[in-house]
Amino acid sequence: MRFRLAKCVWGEAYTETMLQVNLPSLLAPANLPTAASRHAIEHVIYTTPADAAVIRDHPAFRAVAAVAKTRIEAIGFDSAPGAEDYHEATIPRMNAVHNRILEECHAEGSVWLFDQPDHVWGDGSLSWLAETAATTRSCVVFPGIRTVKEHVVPELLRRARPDGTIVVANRDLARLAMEGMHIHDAGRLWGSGTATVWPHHVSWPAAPHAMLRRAFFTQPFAIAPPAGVGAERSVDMHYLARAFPDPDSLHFVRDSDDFFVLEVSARFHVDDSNPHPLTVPLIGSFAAAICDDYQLACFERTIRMHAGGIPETMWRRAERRSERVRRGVLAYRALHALRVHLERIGYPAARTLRRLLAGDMPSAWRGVPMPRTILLPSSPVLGAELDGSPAMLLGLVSAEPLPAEGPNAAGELPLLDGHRLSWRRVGGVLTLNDRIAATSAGEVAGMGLLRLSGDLGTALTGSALAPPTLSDH
Amino acid sequence: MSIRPSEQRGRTNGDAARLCADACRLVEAGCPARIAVLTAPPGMLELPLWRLALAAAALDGSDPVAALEHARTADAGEPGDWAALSAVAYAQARIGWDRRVRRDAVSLLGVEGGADRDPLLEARTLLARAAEIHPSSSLWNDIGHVAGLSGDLDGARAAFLRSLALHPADRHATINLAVLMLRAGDPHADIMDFLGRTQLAATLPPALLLLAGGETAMAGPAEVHEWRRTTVFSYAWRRELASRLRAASAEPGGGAP
Repeated sequence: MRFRLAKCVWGEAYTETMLQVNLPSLLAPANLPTAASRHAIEHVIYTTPADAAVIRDHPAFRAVAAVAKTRIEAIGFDSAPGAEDYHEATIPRMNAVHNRILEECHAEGSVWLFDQPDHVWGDGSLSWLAETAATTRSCVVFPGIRTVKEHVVPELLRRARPDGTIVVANRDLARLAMEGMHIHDAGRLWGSGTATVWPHHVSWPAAPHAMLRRAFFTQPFAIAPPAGVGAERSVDMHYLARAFPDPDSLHFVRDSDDFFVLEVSARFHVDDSNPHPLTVPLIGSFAAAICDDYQLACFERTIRMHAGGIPETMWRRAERRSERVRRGVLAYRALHALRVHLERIGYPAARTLRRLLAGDMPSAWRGVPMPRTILLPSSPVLGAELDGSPAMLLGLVSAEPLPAEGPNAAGELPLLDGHRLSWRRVGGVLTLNDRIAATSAGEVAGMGLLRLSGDLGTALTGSALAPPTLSDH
Repeated sequence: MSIRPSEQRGRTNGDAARLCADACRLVEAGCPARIAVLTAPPGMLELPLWRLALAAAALDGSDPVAALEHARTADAGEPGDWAALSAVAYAQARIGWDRRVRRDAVSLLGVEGGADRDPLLEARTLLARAAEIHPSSSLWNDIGHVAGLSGDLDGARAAFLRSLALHPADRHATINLAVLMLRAGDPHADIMDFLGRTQLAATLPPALLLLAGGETAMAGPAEVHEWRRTTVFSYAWRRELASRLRAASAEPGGGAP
C-alpha cells in the first residue's frame, strides 16, 4: 500500500507553525522514520513559491527530506497579505488543494495520510496510522483536540531535542492538550457552564486529565479516496458520508494511546461559546438540524483520551453517562421530527410539543447529568392524548429510563414536573397511567422510546424515530 | 481630534485624510479588520484616533491582545476619552471571556487554571469610568453585558435597567435585559410583560419572538445557531470612531490644526 503524507500551507503564521512543531513532531522516531522504513510513504507539501523558499531553507524540512521522500508542490496563488477572510478565502483555497490531493491520491492509488501545518503528532501515531490503514484497509478517523497555540507551542519547543526533533508520547501530548485546551473544545465539554451551539463533538470528563469523546463529525486521517467524491469544506463535515457511505467501514480510533494528534490554533481564532451549559435538548437540536443517520452512527463510538492510566471502572462510568446523553439526544431528535411534522400538518398539539422540547432551562438540566428518556406513545394513543389532554404528553417526559427486562413488570417513573408515571407491562402491552400506550412487544422494546405507527408515523419512519435497541445497553 | 502635519512622514495631509475616509468606510461597512491592510505612514501610529481605528481592526480580526495594546495607547494619548476606554474594555472582555470559558472547562479535567487578575473585572471598571465621563445608555448596556459574562446576573440586570432609565428605547439594553431574564430563568410572564411595556427598536431573537407571540414556555434552543442567551455589546465606541474618522477626513488638510 502506498501512502502520501500531504498537507497544504501558506502564509507566514502557518508556515512558521509547520516548521516549528509539525515537521519536528513528524521526525519523532516512531513517526516518519519508522513509518517510512516500513511503508512506501511520500511526503508532499503544497505551498506557494514564496513560502516554498522559506520551507526549503529550514533545517526541519531538510531533516524530514532525509528521512522520507519529500517534495514541494506549487499551489496557484500567493500568500494573501494582511487580513484574509477565513471563510471566504482561506477555506475555499484549502479546499481546492485538498481536492487536488484527493484526485492525485486516487489516480496513483495511494492513501492520503491527512496532515495540516498546525498538527502535532504524538510519537508513534504516524506509524500506527499507516499500519492500521494497511491492515484494515479502512478510512481511519479521529476527532483531535484543538489547543491554544500560545500555550502549547512554547511547551513543545521547550521539549525539543538539540536536533530540533519534538518527541512527545501520546499521553504527554494528551496532557498538554487538556492543559492548553482551546475555547473551541472547552465549549464542548459536558458539565461546563458554557457551551457552544454547534456541538459537533462532545467530551465527558472521566478522571483528572482524562475524558471520553463522542463525535458526530470526525476527522479522517487515512483516506483512500474513491473516485468522483470531492471535498466541500476540506474532508470535514459530510465528506466522510459521501466517500464512505457505510459508517461501519470506518476505523474509529478508540484510545489516545494508539493515536493522538492535536491541533494548535491562535487563542482567539474562533469563539462560538454561549453562556449556557450543554444540555440534551441543545445537542438534540443540533443533531436534528445538522445530523443524519451517518453522524448518529459515528456518535455511538467513544474515544478515550487520557494522560495516564485510568481505572476501567472510571471509563465505564463516563461511558454510561455519555450513553445516557446519547439516548436522550436520539429521543430529542425523534420528538423534534414529530414536532416539525405536527406543525406542518397544523396539528393542534404542536405548540405543546414545542414547549416540551424546549425544556432545557438551566434549573431543569444543570447539575443533572442524566438525560431524560422521552416516551412516545403509539399513534392512536398519541392522537387521543394530543387532542384530549396535552398535559399528558408533558408528563411523558421521564427522568429515568423504562426498565426493559422481563415480560411482565410494573413500576413508576419520576417525571420532570414532579409527578410520577405508573407503568405496567403485561406480555406485549404497555400501560402508562392505566392507559394503553403500546400493544406490541416491538413497541415496548428498548428504553421505552416507542416507534410511531400509522398515519403520524408515515412521515417519521426510518431514522427520525429509530428507537434505541436492547443491544445499545 | 485632528491629524497634525508634523506627524506625517512622507505623506501629505491629503493622504491622511484619504486614509481616514477609507477607514471610516470600512468601519461603517462592518469590516474594520481591513483597516489593518491600509498603508499608513509611520507617524499615524502616534495618533490616538488611528490607534483607536487599529484597535477596532484588531478586535474585528480576532486579535484582542493587539487591540488592547492599540486601545491602551489611544487611551494614554487622549486621557479621559470614553471611546478609548471602551475599546480597552472590549479587548479585556474578549480576553477575559476566553480565559473564563477555558478555565471552567479544564477545571473539570483536574487542570489548574491559575489565579491571576480577571480581565472581565477590569473591563467592567473601565466601562464604569467611561460611563462617568460620558453617561450614556450604551455604556450602561456594555457594563451589563460584561457583568453577565462574569456571571453577575444581578449586576447585569441593574446595569441594563439603568441604561433603560437613561434611554427607554435603547435597543441593545431592551433585548439584552429580556435575554438576561431568559437566562436567569425568570417567569416567562415577566419577560412577556417587559417586552409588552418596552419600545422595541430592533428585531427580537427567535426565542423572544416566540414568547412575544404567546409561546409561553420557550426557553431552550428551538433551532440551532440561536444564541438567545448571549447579551451583546453596543459598539457605541465604534460608531463614535467612524464619526471621528469622517470628521478628520472632511477637515481641510486632513484635519490638521
